[in-house]
Amino acid sequence: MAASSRTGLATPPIEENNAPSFDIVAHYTRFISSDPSITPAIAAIESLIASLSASSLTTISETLALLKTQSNTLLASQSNPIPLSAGTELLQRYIITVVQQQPTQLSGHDFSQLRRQLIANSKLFVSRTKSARSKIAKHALPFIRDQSTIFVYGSSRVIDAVLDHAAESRRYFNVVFISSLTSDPIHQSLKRLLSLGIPVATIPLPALSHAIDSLDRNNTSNVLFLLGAEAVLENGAAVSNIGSRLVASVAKTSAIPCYFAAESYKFTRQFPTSFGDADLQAMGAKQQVLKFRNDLDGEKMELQVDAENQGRGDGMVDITPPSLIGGLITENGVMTAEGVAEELIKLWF
Amino acid sequence: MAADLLLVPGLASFRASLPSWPVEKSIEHLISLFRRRQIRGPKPCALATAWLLRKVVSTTRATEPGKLILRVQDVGKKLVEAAPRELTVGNIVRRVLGAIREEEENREADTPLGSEPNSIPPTPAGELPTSFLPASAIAPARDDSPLGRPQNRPALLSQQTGGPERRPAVTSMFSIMAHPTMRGSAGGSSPIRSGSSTPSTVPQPPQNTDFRAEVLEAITEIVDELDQADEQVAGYALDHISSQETIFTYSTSPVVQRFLLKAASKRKFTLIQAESYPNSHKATHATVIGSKIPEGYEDLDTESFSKPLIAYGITVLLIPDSSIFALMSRANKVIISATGVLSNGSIVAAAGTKPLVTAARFHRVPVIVLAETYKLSPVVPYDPFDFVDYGDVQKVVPYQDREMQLGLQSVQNPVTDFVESEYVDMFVTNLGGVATGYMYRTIRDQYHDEDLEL
Repeated sequence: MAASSRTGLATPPIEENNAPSFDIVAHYTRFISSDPSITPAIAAIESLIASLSASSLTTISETLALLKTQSNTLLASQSNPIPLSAGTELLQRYIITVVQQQPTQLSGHDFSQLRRQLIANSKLFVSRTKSARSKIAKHALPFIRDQSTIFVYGSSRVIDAVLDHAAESRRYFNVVFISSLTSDPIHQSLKRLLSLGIPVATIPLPALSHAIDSLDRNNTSNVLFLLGAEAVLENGAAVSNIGSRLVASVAKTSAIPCYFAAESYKFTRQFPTSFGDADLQAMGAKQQVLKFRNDLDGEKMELQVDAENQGRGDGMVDITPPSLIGGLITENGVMTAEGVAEELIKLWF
Repeated sequence: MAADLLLVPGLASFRASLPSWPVEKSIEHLISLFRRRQIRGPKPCALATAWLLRKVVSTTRATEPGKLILRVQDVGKKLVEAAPRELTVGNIVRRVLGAIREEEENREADTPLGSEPNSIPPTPAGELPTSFLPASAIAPARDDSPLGRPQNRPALLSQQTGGPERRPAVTSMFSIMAHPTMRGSAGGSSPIRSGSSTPSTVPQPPQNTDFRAEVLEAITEIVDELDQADEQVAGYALDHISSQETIFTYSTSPVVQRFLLKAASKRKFTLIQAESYPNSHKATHATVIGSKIPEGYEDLDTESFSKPLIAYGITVLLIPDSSIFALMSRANKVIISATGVLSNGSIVAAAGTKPLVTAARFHRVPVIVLAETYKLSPVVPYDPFDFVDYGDVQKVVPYQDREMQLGLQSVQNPVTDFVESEYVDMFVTNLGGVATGYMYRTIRDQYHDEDLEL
């Protein structure tokens, strides 16, 4: 690996020996592709823990330095590192917080115990994330009353869990799928809902406003939008598939509530001052939607979804401002956008 | 007059009957009063609930906190079912439960055998002690807990950890991280016990009677708070009303009246009052003229109604609801009260409030909502229509107008409105001004997370 680029801290000599033997990007890619239910943040946490177990460090500062370097490497390798950064930050802050809570004289002993536990229990995180999804489904259930019409956009595992839970709870509702640029995963969700007996409609994104006005309000007493998020920023804004912001805007103008569902580990302490390409790039995403060109030779003119991540359904993202978000459904309950900052600040207390 | 009041089923008769009746009978009585809407309105319902719970706690045979909590929960559930749209009933039940839990914590912090190896019950905020109730975790940092709770909370943390005096508030984002065996090591001092504590191994009879007495004291403080809340909110009036301003208000309510009267004693301003037909217009007229006590408020302290605003030289324009939009541009601010505030800062208020705030938004007039703390409810507004209450249809179409009634499919008289938080610019509670974005926090701090679902 290339020499780590870090702040002016002295490089512990062990760092150089460990770096070539552990390829965190490869680990991450393996985690992500092996388990379809895993999220980028959790895979990032697992990769970091794997790097921890591959090293033989026993002091806190060395470990934190290692985690920081490995995080930076991992984040630099991704075209959209924002969801991963939520996970890496969380792990680092967690270790710091736990260590701070110990009386100082015991810190060495308990740290190696902590380290062992982290390594031993990385499998537990994956199952916890699944249980986090089912908790979100439980909190979202009261929003889905009988005779509801739910609009969902793109593919989101959390939203799939929410809809499945509602269907299994014998709620009678309709679903409108708004297809995004990556349409393949929708097919799976469609099949599943139809098999559970839920009437489903599919519309392309340009048809959204028209479809809202075409709803038969006599038959459906409650309309809402449910979207998933890859990450939630400090001001409560949601990073999600590109097009989510557009969907939320249409919902707002039609006076329909739009809720985003995300586990709380997706909260990240990045504060956007605006919501465009430049702001995403400032957060590390390599995305440029608006590209002016002066000539026509050979290039396709339509928007290219990032081909590298196509298989995972990840592609371009956009940021939905908190003013368009009616509520954030997390595994700890329904929060307002303002509540996100508080949860994050507690991480850094 | 007073004797007559006692015969009419309502708040006064309930209060009079409480000392003499057995507790089960009183519970049934209150449930029936709620069901028949003979006690209505946020403050009367809150008072009745608090009085009843005080009686329940004082007559209960349960001597352990766990059993007491179950008893209060049981009674509380019945009361909430009897008055599902009166949010203050649930709020007071939660406050009492919170008081019991706090007493339990204080007790355990004091006894040397504090930590018991029982399982920590699941909380909505996560399974593990790292997902602390933010209120309790942050409490040491706010020593002036102004909500009228028992202030005798000892410095729990510095007694039991050798470490820093103030534990950092732990975020529930860690809930995926902590492993069960780490509960002990991650700073194992008094985690939140929520009432399913097993009986302690050392019998402590004298402490148990003290325990109930302290809970009763806490409930008495809640009742006092209910009585003083109006006055406390009014204390902030001078901050919000300047000289020569034009204030717009809607309908009539004790807290708004007190607020305006307090300001009127020192400032000269103009008031535009919309009458709120058909539910409160008579009460509004009476308030403006100062002619008689508005109906429904006989039971309460009426000193504030004896002098109307005009007696202080304030110009009051009483207008019909149809003129609200037309006159809104003349107002500097809108001051209204809410019957309930929900977890995300949205409010339940008198019917007609929604068009009022929509007019205010159009004209860019700030909206200030007065809400005493007992109106703050941790309920999540899943369905706005859940909070719309319906009232006497006669006020819309009288029964005498039989032909009209028969011709119509249905006649409805909603008495409450649901207003989303984005329409409210600011709240004023007993504790002062609260921004709408911060309201969720103020509400969360009032209650324990385990009591959210009754």
